[in-house]
Amino acid sequence: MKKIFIFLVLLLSYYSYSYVYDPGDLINSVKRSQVITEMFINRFSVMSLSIDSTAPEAVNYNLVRGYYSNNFDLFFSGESVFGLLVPTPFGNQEATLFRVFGSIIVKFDEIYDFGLFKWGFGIGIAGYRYGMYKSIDLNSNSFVNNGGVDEESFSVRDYIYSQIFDDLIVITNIIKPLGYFHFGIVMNKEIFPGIDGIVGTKDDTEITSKSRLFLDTNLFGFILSSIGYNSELDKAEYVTVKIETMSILSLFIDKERYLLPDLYLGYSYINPSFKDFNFNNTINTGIVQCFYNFGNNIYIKSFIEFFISGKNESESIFRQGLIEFGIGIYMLNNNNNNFNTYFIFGLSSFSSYRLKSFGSSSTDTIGWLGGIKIDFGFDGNNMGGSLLLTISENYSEKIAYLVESYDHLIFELKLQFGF
Amino acid sequence: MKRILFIFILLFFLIGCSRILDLLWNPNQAEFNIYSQSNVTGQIRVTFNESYHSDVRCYDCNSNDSYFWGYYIYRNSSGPYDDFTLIGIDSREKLTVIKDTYDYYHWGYVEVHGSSVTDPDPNGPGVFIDTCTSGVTYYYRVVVVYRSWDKKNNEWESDIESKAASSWTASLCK
Repeated sequence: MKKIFIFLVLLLSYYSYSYVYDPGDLINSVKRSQVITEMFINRFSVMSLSIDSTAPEAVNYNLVRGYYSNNFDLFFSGESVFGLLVPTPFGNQEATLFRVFGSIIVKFDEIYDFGLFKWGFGIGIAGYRYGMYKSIDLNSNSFVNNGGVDEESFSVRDYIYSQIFDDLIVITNIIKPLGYFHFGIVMNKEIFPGIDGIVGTKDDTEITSKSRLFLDTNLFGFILSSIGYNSELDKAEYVTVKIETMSILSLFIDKERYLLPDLYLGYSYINPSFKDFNFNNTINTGIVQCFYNFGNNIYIKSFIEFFISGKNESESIFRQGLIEFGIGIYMLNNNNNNFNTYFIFGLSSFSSYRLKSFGSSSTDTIGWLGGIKIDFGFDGNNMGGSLLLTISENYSEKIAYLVESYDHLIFELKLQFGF
Repeated sequence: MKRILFIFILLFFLIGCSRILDLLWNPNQAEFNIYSQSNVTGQIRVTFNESYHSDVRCYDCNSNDSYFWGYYIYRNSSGPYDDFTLIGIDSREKLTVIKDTYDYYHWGYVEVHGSSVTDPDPNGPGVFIDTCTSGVTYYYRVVVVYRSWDKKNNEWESDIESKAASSWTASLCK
């Protein structure tokens, strides 16, 4: 079956007019593991990094970053990439690539007071469902005696190619004021649904099923590190280390932390190698990440990633650069309730040789993102959430983890709720 | 709270978060298989197990917003991923009570079929016999359809909805 799978993936590369074979990111379990763990870390950060102060600037700091959740966080994200032309035994078909993410985290900060430190506990689960499907229209026909009902056209979805089921379970130890420690297991499963296009029938084939360890720490609120470890290969497949410099600076200057921007400096390593395809794409990069809010009206987010050693993924020293603005029009903003609507605009650049395998004539691409975000908080802003809708194309945040989406629009919906 | 956490963990291990997301993402995904064969010249026999529906309306049933209406059969001759067109409906609804010559009452059926379809056994498994052109490959899909019920006026409404769909099958017409 593995041979059949390889054959199908080779077919996938046909449409890209590739001269260097690239299997893409959809079936890359290392990259997927990094994505699911980073999504989880982001959710946990939302629950942990809020500033405990009633100063208006501190309230704004928390609201703009969506820091409503303290004990419970529910998050859902769905993305669709339409119009991917893929070859099938029945000719080239336009398929839709989809990614659906969901997570639930429960956290209790101070369960026991040991004097020197307070111990807390958290547990979280997350799931990521990837895949491609083809929508088929079933049309009604007035020539058929339908018993007097309205003519109704239906549509069905057939899954094509590999279907991905990634799961993550994380146990968290919280030791205040030291920080917190995540220990998790990522389970990656890849299934070929067979010719019938249905997952869960007899002709399904399990292509891979692997588990990886995930460790993550946040020390003192400003030293962050995470590692994805493959016990089978006995090696770390991805490592990220970041330092939040402004939290350190605020210890030495007479200025409250919430008046300063978030500025992360870090290092990232990933080795998403493909054993079956002799495809090696080790990336060592430095990262600079910044976020700053002007009240509750405007925020700016920027991200720069540059190659620092090893085999570069492109001719440029910069792997990606991104700047994003959120301009808010709030309808309600007081100490108890918040209702704010942000219009979001972003521009990015992304550089990689791999783009050429997916239809680009250049190794660089400019991307954009537009969207709207609705924030809501109530009960003293101790409970709240957000709804985010975006459209993007070649946006570096997306394409860096899903290179197949090059030159296609990505539609995204995010829902968050917490308390 | 401990109980909630326990259920939480148990559910994850039993089902998996990604599986739950899959069900939410595609609730009407294809659920059953159908079969077809052409043993007689100019005919294709399409069969499916009629166990993929529920909520058949009985004579005095009035509590649901919708009831099973029938199996809709679709066909094309170009491929499983191309558009399909409705060719027939296998609907055997228990609609009326029939008084027979001995004053006993039993269920009656209303059968709704497409013009090119005959069903040799209205009480058996779903069977469709489709007329076809020799040498052409035909592709079939089946959808389970439910019809809205007006509880207030105790009558059928005109709108229908799909709640499950089969995979596809194909046969070369003999």
